[in-house]
Amino acid sequence: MQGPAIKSKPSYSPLAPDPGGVHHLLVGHGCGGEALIRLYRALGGPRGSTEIHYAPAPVPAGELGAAIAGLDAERTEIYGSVDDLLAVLPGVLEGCAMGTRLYVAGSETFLWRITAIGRAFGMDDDEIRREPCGPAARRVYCVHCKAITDDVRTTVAECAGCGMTLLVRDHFSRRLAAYMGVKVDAEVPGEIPGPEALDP
Amino acid sequence: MMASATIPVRVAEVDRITPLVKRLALQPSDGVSLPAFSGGSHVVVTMQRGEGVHRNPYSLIGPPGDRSRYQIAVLRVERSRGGSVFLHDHAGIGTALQITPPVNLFPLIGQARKHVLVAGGIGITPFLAHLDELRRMGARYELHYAARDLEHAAFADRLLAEDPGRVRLYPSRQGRRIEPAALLAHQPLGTHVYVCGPGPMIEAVVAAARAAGWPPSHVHWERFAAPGPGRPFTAVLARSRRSVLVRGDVSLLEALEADGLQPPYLCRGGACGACETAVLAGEVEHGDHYLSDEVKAAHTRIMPCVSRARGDRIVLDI
Repeated sequence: MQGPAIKSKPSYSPLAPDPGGVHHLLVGHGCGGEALIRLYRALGGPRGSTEIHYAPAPVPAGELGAAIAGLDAERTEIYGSVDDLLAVLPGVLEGCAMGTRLYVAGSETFLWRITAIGRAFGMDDDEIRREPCGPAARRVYCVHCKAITDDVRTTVAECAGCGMTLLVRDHFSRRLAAYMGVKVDAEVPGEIPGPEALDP
Repeated sequence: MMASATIPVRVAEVDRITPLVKRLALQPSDGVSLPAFSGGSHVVVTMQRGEGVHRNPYSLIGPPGDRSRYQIAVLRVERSRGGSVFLHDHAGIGTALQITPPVNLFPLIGQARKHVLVAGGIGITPFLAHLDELRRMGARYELHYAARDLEHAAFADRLLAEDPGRVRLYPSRQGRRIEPAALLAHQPLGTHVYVCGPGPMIEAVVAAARAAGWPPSHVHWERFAAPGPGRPFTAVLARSRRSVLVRGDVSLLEALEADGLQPPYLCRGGACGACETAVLAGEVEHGDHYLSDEVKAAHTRIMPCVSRARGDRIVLDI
């Protein structure tokens, strides 16, 4: 339905250590904890230091949180919610020096919200690595009313702002950390395809 | 691609900044305003000297907003092909010169949260326009400036007077040296470093940045390698079936120009890649920092602005 691949749709690869960095900042939430543990082990005593900031939710009972707390990073912080983590991160980055690498693991929306904070501190793509996990859920930006609809899992979805039926496109805004949603029957009113599960 | 059209200018002011550096102000001969430029830009100055033509790149040191005149600072280099000596000894008020439109191969990075400028000797020149831009933007910056001594540190008095808190001078005769590792060790995220000066200084800053974990995207340098004199050789131009003798005291690019060709160029210092030319036969004595080591080893490309033939003859695909 969407034709050839859209260039703005991010592509990812598993988190791997960047040996160029001297301080490694691991940030994740939920199922992203698995990637952080794997990355931490791969870092395996590289030059420099490591710190971990992790919000277990929505992983039940925080099993991954306990596993991460058990790693011997120079600093480990476990947060009650993603919002708590987001509130603390700017202060963490303020204290970091050039030579830091930021690794992010979690839902795609989380990856890009953290990336936006890193960018605000002047970090660029050479300093930030990302690995998504969990269901293919998208944050959708309605081009008509500019509202954000979170956790969209199908190709056709209702806008949380204006209620319009949107086609969720592969066009992705790194700044908004969201995919573009457009009126689904703009060209032929009334012609609404059945919703399909989104590709990861 | 042809060489850019030049702009006729006249020398409007000359003053001595240090025993070896003169400042020249250049005004357009036709009275119209000059093209706008950004901090870090340079122009190539063409000097007619009898039969010979010299073309040297100079950073624009005036404030980027000033389109009524350009200012350059010229270091007198005694053992060179003669461009700087000509400007020192023969250029006065009214001297006619040609300049190229400005080109910027060393711009400030707008996304940077902090700028660290590192200058060595005459390498201060691009930073003079940068500083003007940084102040106008209200940006966070610091300048580290190494020179032989205070007498030879061009513009140091002015820089220290304007900005004592953010400018540090390192006179080597007093044993003061820039220590790149210490300088780069605790810079905040989003810092960019810019270095212009002698080759070893650039290499030391680039190496220290890498060791401190800085990604290459945050490290910027500019170096105009003045083409040194060398041995004479013959350049065979395969496509036009002619050959050009390159004397020891001129560059290959200058010899081609003297023969009536108009090869493209921007920096004339082995940095930008504009004059890259294919080599069909013969080995190259590479003087640029543009081509990769692999390409250099293959002897298939040459930067005529700074590089020469290793032997008596080289065949070019032009």
